[in-house]
Amino acid sequence: MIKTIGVLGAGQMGNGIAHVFAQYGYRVFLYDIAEAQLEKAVNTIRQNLERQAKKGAIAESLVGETVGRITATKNMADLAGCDFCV
Amino acid sequence: MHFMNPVPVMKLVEVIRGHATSDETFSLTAALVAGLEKEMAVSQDYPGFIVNRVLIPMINEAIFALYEGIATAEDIDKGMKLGTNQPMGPLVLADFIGLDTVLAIANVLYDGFKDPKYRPCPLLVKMVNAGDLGRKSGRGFYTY
Repeated sequence: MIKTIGVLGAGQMGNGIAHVFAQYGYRVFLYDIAEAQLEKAVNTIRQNLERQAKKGAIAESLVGETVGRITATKNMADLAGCDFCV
Repeated sequence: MHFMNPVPVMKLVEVIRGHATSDETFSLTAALVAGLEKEMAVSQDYPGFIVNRVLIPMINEAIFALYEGIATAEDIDKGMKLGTNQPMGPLVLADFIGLDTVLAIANVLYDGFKDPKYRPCPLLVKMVNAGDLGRKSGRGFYTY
């Protein structure tokens, strides 16, 4: 059973991939070499979720829950326990 | 797994069977795609997989049509949009993807297959070198 997902790279594709896995209940470790990129990615995910909630596509409560399932990290070793990596 | 951009919106995930991918890994990946309520298209591991293999040469050909003076950007897009029921024409789509990204993928096909049919249009190369990258830079085939 896959429960934790590692996402390598927090750019345009990485933030979207982390977003959907977290939205569907997976625990996500989002990796990038740059702190600024990780911060930007998590902000983008939050903004996109808020937009989805505003449109009624997802429940308001899912915004915080989803972001809460994402751990941004610069440490590749944090992905060692992941069941699946993208 | 090859997701489409923007990931939360696009329904498709290409699932690539690498040379050494086991059936177990493949089934597990297919189940993940279904769990995200997305659709899967399965591809062997060759440059561009399915979508970029077909899309990028189409965009590149639209750029060649513009480069050769066949038609205006507006008419190329109008022709493809209304003539083939695409939601947007290839040049406006290229601006949306980013011309640097389009060129990078075109080069993946060109370098990967070593086949001149994939050569990127010189106009695309010129625009990228000049910093006209499409929507994100404010100018590409259109101005934003």
